[in-house]
Amino acid sequence: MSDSTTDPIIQVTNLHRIYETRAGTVPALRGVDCTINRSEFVAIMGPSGSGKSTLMNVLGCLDRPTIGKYIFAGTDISTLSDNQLADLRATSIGFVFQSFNLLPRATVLRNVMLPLVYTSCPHKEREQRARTALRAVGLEERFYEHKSNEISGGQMQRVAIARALVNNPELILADEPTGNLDTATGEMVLQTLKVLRDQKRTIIVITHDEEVASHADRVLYIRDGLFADEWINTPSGALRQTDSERSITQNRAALITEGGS
Amino acid sequence: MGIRDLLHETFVSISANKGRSILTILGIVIGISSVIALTSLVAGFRNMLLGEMGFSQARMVMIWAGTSMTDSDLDALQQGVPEYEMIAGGSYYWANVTTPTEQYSYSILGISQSYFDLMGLELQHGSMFDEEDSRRLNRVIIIGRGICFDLFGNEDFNPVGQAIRLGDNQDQYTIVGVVNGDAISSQYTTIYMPAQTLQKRMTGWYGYDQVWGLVYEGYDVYEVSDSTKSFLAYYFNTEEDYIYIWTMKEMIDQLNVMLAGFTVVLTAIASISLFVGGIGIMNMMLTSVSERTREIGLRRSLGARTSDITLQFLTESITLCLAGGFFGLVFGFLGASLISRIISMVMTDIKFSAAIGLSSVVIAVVVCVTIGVAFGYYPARRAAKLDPVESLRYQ
Ligand SMILES: Nc1ncnc2c1ncn2[C@@H]1O[C@H](COP(=O)(O)OP(=O)(O)OP(=O)(O)O)[C@@H](O)[C@H]1O
Ligand SMILES: [Mg+2]
Repeated sequence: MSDSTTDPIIQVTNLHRIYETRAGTVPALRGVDCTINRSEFVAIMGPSGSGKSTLMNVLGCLDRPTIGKYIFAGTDISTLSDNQLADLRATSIGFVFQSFNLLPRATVLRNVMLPLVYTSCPHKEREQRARTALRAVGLEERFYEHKSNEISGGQMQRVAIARALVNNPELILADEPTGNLDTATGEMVLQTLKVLRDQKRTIIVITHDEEVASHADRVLYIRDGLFADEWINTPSGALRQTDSERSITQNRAALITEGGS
Repeated sequence: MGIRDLLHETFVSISANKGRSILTILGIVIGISSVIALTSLVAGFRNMLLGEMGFSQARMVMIWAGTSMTDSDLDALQQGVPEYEMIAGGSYYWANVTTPTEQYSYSILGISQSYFDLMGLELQHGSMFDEEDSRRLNRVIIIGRGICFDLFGNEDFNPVGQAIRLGDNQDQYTIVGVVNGDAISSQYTTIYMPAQTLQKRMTGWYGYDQVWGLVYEGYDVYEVSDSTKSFLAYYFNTEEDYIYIWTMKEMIDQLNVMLAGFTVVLTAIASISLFVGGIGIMNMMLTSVSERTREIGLRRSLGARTSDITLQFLTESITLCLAGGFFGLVFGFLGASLISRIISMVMTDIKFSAAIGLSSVVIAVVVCVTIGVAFGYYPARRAAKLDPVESLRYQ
């Protein structure tokens, strides 16, 4: 296995996102720098209004930075047209939303097949892939033909994760995926995400919840549109990363040495 | 996004809003059905007027020379204007026919030999009188089916060989034939006999009151009518102004212009309904776009291009319009055939049927697609232009 730390999927430098509103300009992100590697499970934490969702939209290529550079899987996204960004979302990115965002009248299976409509996936394969994705999130087969508003919240979120998986994306972004779920159900959803990380997918989860963050490999703290702090979770507990400017490799090595001494 | 996905999405979305969709397409249904019903009734009316005549009638001219013409005048005209395939003359008269219960009055037409051929008339029973009958002034007649009905109680009765008494002298005239033609045709209640017989035995006048000519196919009827005018002016040594020529083509052309104008007016009125229907569709699509803002954001996040969103909403509005057009066609056709059935029931003598053409189906489809695109484009673009992030935040 190649050293994952040398294989960044996300490289962000000096990223700003400034909203123009009638009341004036709102700088939601003010110079974010970060690098996220393939098959990392990263949690982003921060107070309400700190810019987490804004960052997720930019990282998910749903929104463009006002200033700064974003390189996704080796491509500078500022060089891509809107259609190319849409295609990138269709093939490489999966979103999971706090409010699930399922089509209520469509069946579970239909909901999971929806992203494939925007890919070149042939009709014949779609249902098979949706079933595979639903099995991966552990939803029982008997719910597949249920309407998506006839299942429980935890089941809905697993369907939403299956939908995010079905196009086999490199990156899965989840904005407070457990925010509407009770602790036990949230735990189940997180376990599902961790299994995906183990299958070499990159997972970014936005959360308010320390408990959720403790499942991540790394936690980034954002405050007022800037990364303020960084923690790395090791089997022996959470370690504070004081200098987030330095490369992960060095830091991890340093922290491990520090923790061992 | 393939056509199959587009149709599936459209089906799902329309069936989720059945009631609203049905109400919305009513304007289109009413517009299309009234255009279809009215135009097929107008076309049916035109067919009724022109269909009786047959195509050769467009080549027919009627000639009044200001003086009555004789057989030798007709021969001269035939030589002077060789573009005529046939020329026939007729003299009008009338006669009473008395039965034990009733007295009828019929018009009599004394005709030259070629009259029936020229008019394209056919005999239901019997045969045409010949040169011999004409020379010998035989008392032979051909009658219309209406006369058959009056005298023998049945339009289809074959009275050939029977005789009826006619005219001041109450002479016996033998029926040798019955001419085809239903109640709206002039021959229905006309008695035909050789012109010579009529002139010598009944009226005592010489010459034809009226002359008909049939122009050879391929010649311009209006030009032939002009040369007829100048020939007759020369022949009778009068002014062209005294010679009056009336062409059937002129009448058909005028009728066509009139009916086309009528159709245009009807279509314009129905277009208002289509326009209002189109606005209804646009309104519904705009509502649907704002209701489905989150769904649009979701689709964008899943990788839908703006063109996918545009197409999805356009397909929906076109489908709605086509559905409206389909029901419009069905109701229009039903309405037209119902009305023509009522006309035929009320006026039993007339054979009227609405003419339902394939062209109206094609036009309806084209019109519906156009309305769908015209009134669906703005909502569809509005949906596509929605910012994906904003739409996902939309409550
Ligand atoms: N579309 C927008 N237009 C204007 N301002 C916006 C918009 N979206 C976000 N903001 C502002 O940007 C800032 C960051 O918002 P963002 O939604 O990213 O916060 P967040 O960290 O996700 O908060 P929460 O935890 O409450 O979800 C806030 O001040 C917010 O008001
Ligand atoms: Mg947020």
